[in-house]
Amino acid sequence: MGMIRRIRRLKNPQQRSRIFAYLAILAVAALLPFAGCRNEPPPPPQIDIPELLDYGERFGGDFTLTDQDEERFDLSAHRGDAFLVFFGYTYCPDACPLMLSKLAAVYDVLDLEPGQRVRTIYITVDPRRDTPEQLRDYLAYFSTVDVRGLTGSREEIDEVAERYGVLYKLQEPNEAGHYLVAHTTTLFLVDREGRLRYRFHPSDTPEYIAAGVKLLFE
Amino acid sequence: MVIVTAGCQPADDLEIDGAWIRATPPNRDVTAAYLVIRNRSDQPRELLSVETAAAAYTELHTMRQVDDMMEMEKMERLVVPPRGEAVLEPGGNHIMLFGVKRQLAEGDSVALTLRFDDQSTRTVTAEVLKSK
Repeated sequence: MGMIRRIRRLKNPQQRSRIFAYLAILAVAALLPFAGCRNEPPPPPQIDIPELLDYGERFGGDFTLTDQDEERFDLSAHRGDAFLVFFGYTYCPDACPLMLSKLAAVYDVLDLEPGQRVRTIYITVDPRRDTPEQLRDYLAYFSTVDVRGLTGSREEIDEVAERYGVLYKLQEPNEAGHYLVAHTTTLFLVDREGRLRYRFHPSDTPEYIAAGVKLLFE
Repeated sequence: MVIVTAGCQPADDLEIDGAWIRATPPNRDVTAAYLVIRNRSDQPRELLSVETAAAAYTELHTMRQVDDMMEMEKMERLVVPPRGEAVLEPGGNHIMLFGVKRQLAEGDSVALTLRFDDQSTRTVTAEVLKSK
């Protein structure tokens, strides 16, 4: 302390601040050997950030289908909102509930500013069984986030599926008449202008997906 | 001469853990069950079938990527490698329950009986969950 008092007494402020700077460096240097002893949590793992793509006019784009409230949903009426879009069917016992859980996790880690909005769309590839009512019951049951469940005529669904590069195949029904549907499980990222910008793999982490979404608001 | 074997019985070579079933939404009679089977023996073991009073019948399914599609495919058996494990989990191998007789709600539990290649069975209690 006596030393600091002596420094304070120095008239020249430049000289004084220089001495303080040296002291600060000395203090940091003295503490350095202890840095490793502190029980601090490890730094958060580096999160990969997807590189968004421009699919041009070839893939993706606007569509109009019917949602679970029997309202027409027109993507072009939602400019300014980002979208996560995936295809599935409500009799899907495994991959589709898994995707809904993952989307809930994406929203948990997504740190959006006020006014930034990301919406989720679930398009059925099984419109024969997935009526708006079925979609409503299913999504109300499994999803903790707001998901628009969309259905339409087989032709309408096929047109959207084709533009998003989604394949599906109704499998052979079993003796009880139950059939499964093989389908593409990609999660599509659509930007605020309605353009397809990324295709997430179903195994991508919520953090990676959220990082991609955030890019649309930069 | 009586040979007392009680107490000398080796511990079960097959251990089944973490069984759960996905809760069924309204008006659905199909769901999936998941668990882990550990094989402590030096021989591969095979799971042949699963029975439960909760469903009309079950199938073992695997997921396959075909032409960019995820396809579920029925398996005749599931091999549990020696000194290894078979993991049945969402997005991978799983047990399909068809003709589920009543809605399975979170908090319910369901008995699953697994039949193995030596015709022995193990019964486990699976917890019903919306997701895990």
